[in-house]
Amino acid sequence: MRLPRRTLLRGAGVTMALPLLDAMVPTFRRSSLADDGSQPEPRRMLAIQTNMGILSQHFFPQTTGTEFELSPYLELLKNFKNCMTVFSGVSHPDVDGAHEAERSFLSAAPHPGGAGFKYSISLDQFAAEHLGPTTRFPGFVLDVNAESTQGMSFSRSGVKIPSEKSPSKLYAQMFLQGNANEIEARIADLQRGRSSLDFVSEDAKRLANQVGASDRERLDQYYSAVREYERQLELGQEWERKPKPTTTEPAPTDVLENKKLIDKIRLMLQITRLAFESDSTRVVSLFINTFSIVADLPGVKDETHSITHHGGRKEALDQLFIIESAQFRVLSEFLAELELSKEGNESLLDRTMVLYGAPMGNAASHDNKNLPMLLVGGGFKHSGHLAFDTQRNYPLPNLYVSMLQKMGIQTEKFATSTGTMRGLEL
Amino acid sequence: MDLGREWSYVSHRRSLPLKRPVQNAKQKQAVSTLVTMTSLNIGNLVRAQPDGILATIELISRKSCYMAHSIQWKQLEPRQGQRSVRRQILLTFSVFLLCAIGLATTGLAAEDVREPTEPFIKKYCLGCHDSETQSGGLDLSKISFQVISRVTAPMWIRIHDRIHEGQMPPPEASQPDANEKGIVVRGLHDALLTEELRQRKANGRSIVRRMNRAEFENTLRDLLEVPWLDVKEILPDDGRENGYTKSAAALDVSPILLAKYAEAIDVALEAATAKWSVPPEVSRVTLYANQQYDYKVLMGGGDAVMLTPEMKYDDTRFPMPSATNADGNYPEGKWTFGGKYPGLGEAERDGVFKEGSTVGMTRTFGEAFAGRFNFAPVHPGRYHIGVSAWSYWWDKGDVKPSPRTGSVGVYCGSKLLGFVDAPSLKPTYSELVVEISPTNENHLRAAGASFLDAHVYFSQGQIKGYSGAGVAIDKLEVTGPLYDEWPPPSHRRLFGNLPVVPFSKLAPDVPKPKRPTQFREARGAINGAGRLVPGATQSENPQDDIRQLLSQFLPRAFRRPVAESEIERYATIADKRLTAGGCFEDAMLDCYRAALISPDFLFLHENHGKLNDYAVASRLSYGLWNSCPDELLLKAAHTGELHSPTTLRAVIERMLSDPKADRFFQDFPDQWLDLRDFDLTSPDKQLYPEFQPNLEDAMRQEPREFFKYAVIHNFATSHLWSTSVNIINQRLAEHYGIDNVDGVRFRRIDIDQNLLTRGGFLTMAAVCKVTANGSTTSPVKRGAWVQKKFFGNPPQPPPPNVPAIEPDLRGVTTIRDQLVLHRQDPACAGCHSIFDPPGFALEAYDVIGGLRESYRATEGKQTPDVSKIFRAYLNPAGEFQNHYNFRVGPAVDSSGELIDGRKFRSLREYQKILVDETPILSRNLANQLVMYFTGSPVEFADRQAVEEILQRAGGNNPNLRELLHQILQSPVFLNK
Repeated sequence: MRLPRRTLLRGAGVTMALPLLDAMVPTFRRSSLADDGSQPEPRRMLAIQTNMGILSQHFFPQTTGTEFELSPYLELLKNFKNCMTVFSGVSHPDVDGAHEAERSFLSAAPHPGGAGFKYSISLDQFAAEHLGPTTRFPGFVLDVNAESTQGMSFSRSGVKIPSEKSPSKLYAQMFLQGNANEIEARIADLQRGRSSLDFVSEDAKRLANQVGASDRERLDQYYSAVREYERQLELGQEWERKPKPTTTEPAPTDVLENKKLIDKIRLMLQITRLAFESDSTRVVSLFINTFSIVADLPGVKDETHSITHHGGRKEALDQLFIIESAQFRVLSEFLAELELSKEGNESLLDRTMVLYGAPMGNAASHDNKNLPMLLVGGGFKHSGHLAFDTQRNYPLPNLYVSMLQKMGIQTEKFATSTGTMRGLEL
Repeated sequence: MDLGREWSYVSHRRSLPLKRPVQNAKQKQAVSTLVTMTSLNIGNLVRAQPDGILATIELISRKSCYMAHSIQWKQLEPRQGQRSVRRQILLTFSVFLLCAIGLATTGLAAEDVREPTEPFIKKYCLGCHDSETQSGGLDLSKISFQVISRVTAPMWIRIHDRIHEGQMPPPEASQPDANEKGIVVRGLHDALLTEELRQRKANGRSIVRRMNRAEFENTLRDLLEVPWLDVKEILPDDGRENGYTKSAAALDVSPILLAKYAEAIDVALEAATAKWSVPPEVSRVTLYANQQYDYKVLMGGGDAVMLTPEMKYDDTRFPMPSATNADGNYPEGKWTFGGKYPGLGEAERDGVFKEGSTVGMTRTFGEAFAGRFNFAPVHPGRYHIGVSAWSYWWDKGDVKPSPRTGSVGVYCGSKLLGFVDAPSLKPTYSELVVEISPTNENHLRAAGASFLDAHVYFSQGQIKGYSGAGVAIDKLEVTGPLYDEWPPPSHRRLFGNLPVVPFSKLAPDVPKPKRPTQFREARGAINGAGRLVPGATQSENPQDDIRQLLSQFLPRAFRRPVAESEIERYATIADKRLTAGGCFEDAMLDCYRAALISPDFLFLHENHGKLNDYAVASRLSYGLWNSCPDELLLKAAHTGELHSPTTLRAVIERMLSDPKADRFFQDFPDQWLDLRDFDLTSPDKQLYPEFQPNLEDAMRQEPREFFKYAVIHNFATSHLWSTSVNIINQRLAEHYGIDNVDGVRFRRIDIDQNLLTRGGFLTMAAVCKVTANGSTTSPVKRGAWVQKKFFGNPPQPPPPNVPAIEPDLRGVTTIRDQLVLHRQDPACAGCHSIFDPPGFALEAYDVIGGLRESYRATEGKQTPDVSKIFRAYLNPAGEFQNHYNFRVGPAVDSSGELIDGRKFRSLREYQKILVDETPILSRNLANQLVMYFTGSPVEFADRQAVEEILQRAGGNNPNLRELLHQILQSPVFLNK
């Protein structure tokens, strides 16, 4: 019963690599294959933060469960009641620091105001890292009116991802063919990367021939990883060579005035829809800064931040209600467009999870607990209003784990998560 | 603490996704298929199937190991019978399968121990360990008699040890005679030894592995001479085996990891390459506190004031804003900024801040105060950052002596550079010499760090009526970036002495390098990139230079001699790039990029059997420096000196006295004691307000400083668990209740152990923190930690479906009360009576290592004696006046009784028990060190070698440095 040893070990080495690959590289070819071996439907993610909070009295429903009673803001999204989950009593553990918490909205990195604060990877970048070159762009990081110091998307090493403010630039990147020299230069770069991988894979083979069985197994794992990585670079090259998709929609014209908040948000959401429809990317984050502007809306005359410290004044609350309602309306428009847009036998909304929320539960008191959070679409079995303890909040990173899993990424953990979102079925 | 993960090693070396159940349909089906194939010859099955089936077998074997554990060592409810029988069947087959795999791998028969053990087991063991009773969760009726290293061997080792040490059969059962016992023990001993040695013959004791994250970063720093390089965070976290990131099984390679390596290598090479033909201009600037925007805002609000050189409140230029009246209105009807200005702009125009001045502050880093200074390093390199600071007591407008030395925290962006002293009313200049790599947010920041939040926020203007601790910052003096030479040493590593020629002097047709450099000029900083002269390395004789440079670089990178043909092979990479029209610099970097991602660099290669000198050099350097060998070490390897014991001793001494050895002094306790998990929990702010950055930093440093001191001074190992020697600084001394320690510097303080129980790892704040969850302590977790870390005896994980004890923060019941109930259940008592007691002793310390007599609770009537708790924050009258919000909970009981009947009333008494157990604890320490240094745990066949190490090092309580020497000169270390 002796085996050809080489064959067995080669097999064992690859096998060793498999669970790891499963966990870390769900490129569409491997782990996201469904059990029957078919290609699973693509999942997409849009994460939106509006940084000055949302008035909780107009947001949180009074009743829980799928038959919850719509709150004034959610009334504006009533068409999507069946495919949304509203969360209350949730927050990021140890994320405090008032406005500083906006940086940790997607990463849940603790104590963003503290002296030794360390950035960590954000939800969108985590997803983008794992999706790799599935699409032409791993992810879009967008903002409306953000200062250069603001943002919520961070790489694994804690570097902030610069965000794009211009919808027209995004349009050009997605649909206009680039300069041939630039394309060639990028292809040449990737080619050099591939050549050096090819080069070192020979080293791995040479070394594997000099060692015992267990050592060889480790080197085989390296060898497989090099091959897989090389394939990813190859995909990257293919993307460079592939002609870009086309669209019948005209290029947008950027809105430059900061006070035209709603117009700017609308443009960003439109460009996001185009990105998803053309499958240019599957991960988008959108940071909305409403600070230091007087929104160009009838009935609004004060700067947003100052009125968030309303102290119960009616005129301030009324203005906030106008601004926030307009934000929900434009979100509703976007969701409706996603629903109309079809991909295969599903609507784009079914395949796109839209997260919407704010970093403070109560902006007036700078409270970072009880965040207003909303998840729409994405193919979840939605639960209406999921209410948790408002005194001892439920960890919001659990929702992020659920979202990542729904994206086909096999992770058990994100930041300070303790599991997946209780009450929300995938 | 993830006990499951720890266990995974024993059951199976590949520890990755053990806990993932076999769930998907295909796998389930495969399992059942295999189960139905009971009568088949498994060997044939394995041979007949291609990779796919092997994958399945692999998966099953993982699962079964997990189950093997759950069945054999866990308490199982009898009612779970049906399920467990099914598992049992699976288990039996998987063990069978594993035998097949084991056999196939080695091509030899495994050791069979049926003959020496079966009669004994039938006679003495099956009474309790049968499938009915399964005492202790162990069923010996269906056991595999094949001893297979790392598969069935761990179980057989346990059986061997229990019988050998006379623990089994238990005293009340009938006892075997010496002859019967001898047959089993000898039989097992021989079989285990034969099996392990056979495995080693094929594979060696340890398996080739890649560098871990820390090793990778350090290696790049040292190899390329870029001490400021920060690339560790780019890489995903490493796996662990037995808590260590030093062994092959923990260090997998994935495509994502390679992509991240490639990214980090790009960053490192870019950092090492000189881009300018002359060094970037050195900034020499003085930054006054009152000219910093953040400070102006703070002063405008009234949480900081300008102070005169005479150390008085300077109320003329920018007086503090007025406080509100009792009715809540401002005296003149409106609040004014700086007492008279409607806004900062007006004050600026008035020249209020034109002249530099000291600023005293009563607020530390926190909401809306970042303490930013208007300097942000742009170029990586060495910076000297001087801080002039002092402390005082603010008493409603008067500056009075501070009751203790204060401190200032200095950061670059979010990176802590260090803390400096601020003595009472004595402006003191301290200088930090730091290597900085600019990041995206890198303003220098400095603020008082020695007091708690004053809870006086701006727009309230209350400071006139406020008394509290203050820290004054006069100025920062910044010099940098400084380089010892230009081009810097890093560049010379890559390009030797070739000149960096300014672009302006290059002919237009000479190709220029592609550089991704982006400047990170920070907003509001007075410094920028400065005058730069971009240039690129030029070669007159590219072909020769390429080969020359590679022949210098590759042997250092690969830590061994490199053949001419290998150099030539790498040289062709550069040749190609040059032929394609690339420039010399890019061509060389292409070679280096390939070299640094090659397995020759990333993996630590070791030859079979007795290690050659180069492999020894790497083991030494990755052991003691967490990095590659330096030139001297490689030279010693080259001349073949490392096999001489005298030379080896001298080499180890040199390495231990090198500053790089700090990495060992930090990393070994970090890995052994889980201290690198320090940041995983944050203490509850309400219960532990004193957990401030300066305490956190001191807690983090103490284990390293102590371990270093103990090794350098060759302390007996027992000092690690009980000693009068503490290596602490002021903040830790305050935390520990030790008086008269002044300043941020760590120094030796000897205490009377009978008066205060501090000393050794067990009483360290960092240890107390990693064994707690931030708000509560659990004797179970801490006790298990002591058993595992100090005794090397990890407890079995709890049976499934036993809920964790929910701590009661309100303070009504203690965890001890709750555990009493738990331990009344005999099924639980068996294990808990072994590992809870040390945890009871440690109850004397709270979650951040403060000594306590009662718990802190969120509810309750009794107020705590805060003047005792918050010694670091008292006013001159010795009172604590800051805000706190907790109550006195139940009293702490730190007494206990060991399973052998020894009792202790306090942690001090438990420490004495530990000292009595020093032979066991020393042996465990030796095992842990062997594991750290060789990447492979101490196995059955190593036991004799470890005994010899201990003997040579001085027996039961060897001295630490000598123990290191003996390990590093032992056959275990010097053979693969």
